[in-house]
Amino acid sequence: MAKLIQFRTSIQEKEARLIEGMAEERRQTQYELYAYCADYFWDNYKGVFFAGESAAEEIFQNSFIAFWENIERRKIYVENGIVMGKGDVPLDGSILTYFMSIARNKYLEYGREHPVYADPETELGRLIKEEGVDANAYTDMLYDSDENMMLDIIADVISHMSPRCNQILTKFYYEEKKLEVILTEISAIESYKALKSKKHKCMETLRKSAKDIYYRRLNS
Amino acid sequence: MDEKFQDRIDDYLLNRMKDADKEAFLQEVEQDNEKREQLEFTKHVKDSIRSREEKLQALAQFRRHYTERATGTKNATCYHSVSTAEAAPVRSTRRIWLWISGVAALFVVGFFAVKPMFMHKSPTEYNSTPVEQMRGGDDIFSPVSADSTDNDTINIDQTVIPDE
Repeated sequence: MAKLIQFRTSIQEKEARLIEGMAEERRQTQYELYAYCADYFWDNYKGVFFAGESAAEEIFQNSFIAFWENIERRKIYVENGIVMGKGDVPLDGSILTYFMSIARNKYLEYGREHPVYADPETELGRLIKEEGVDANAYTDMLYDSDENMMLDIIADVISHMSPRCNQILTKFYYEEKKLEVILTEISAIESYKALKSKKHKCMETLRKSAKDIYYRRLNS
Repeated sequence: MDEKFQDRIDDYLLNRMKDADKEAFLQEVEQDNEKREQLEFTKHVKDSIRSREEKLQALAQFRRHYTERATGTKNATCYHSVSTAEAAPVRSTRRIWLWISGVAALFVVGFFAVKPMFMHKSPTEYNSTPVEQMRGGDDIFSPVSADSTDNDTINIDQTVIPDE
């Protein structure tokens, strides 16, 4: 049987090592990948995005989390020293290109959520007006096509939650605090009933958004 | 979405439900697709929030470490190892190299621009023409005085015998 010999450049070897280290939850490699992406992002984002520093920081953060989760869910992984992508085929290009594709989609999402950035006079406004936001390209990049799709969608929708919902649900589900305790920590909410109602609305909104995306994805 | 049932889901997922109630709850879920879906959805939300929060905490550390390195305050040692040098942000290093390249380029351009100014000497230091300077001047090519009516270098007394 003919043996397939794959020649890899030092960059490909480095990228394979980074992805492997991330999958194995090595803290040092996680930082290494962070720095690798950050160097590239901060050197290049101005040529790709029209966004201020704080907006760019938010886009970078959400993109890196999505990238990280994609590695955890093996949408991007290493096999025989080769970085593999969707459809179990070698990744077409550098992992930085992959990362920047996520960032670009996050950027377009950001533009939809912050209409001030989608001003037709701006580069983002022009992009949204001329190209639109390709929902399929977006979901292709972020969501799985199997049973994990809903989990992917929820993870993405959570990153777009309002700060108040984010605060309530994080305290409730992550910090595992009771509503009575949360009420004492959020002075803007006056009563237990209002807090309970707010939590319920947050969950309803999340569920509706996730379902909409899910069915749109199934029908695409 | 059933709000009361959501409370029970939360109690179950956050381990606030008594063991005896858990069994009844799971049986109820098993028999109702909508309730099962609601439980699955809440599980996903809980897992996603946990995953995101853990990553956000890690990112806060990474960002601090990255900024410290980029600004040159290298007192953070939490990720030190052989490969840290490779992992260190290259933004500051790039800037340093850019500066070094710029200064080096200035020296090179300056050298070629300034050198001819010092090489060129005033024409008053020479009495000869540039062509003579180039060929070495009178030291090499001794000038022969030109013929004139007073100084005739052609000897006409010589007898010239034509070939016959």
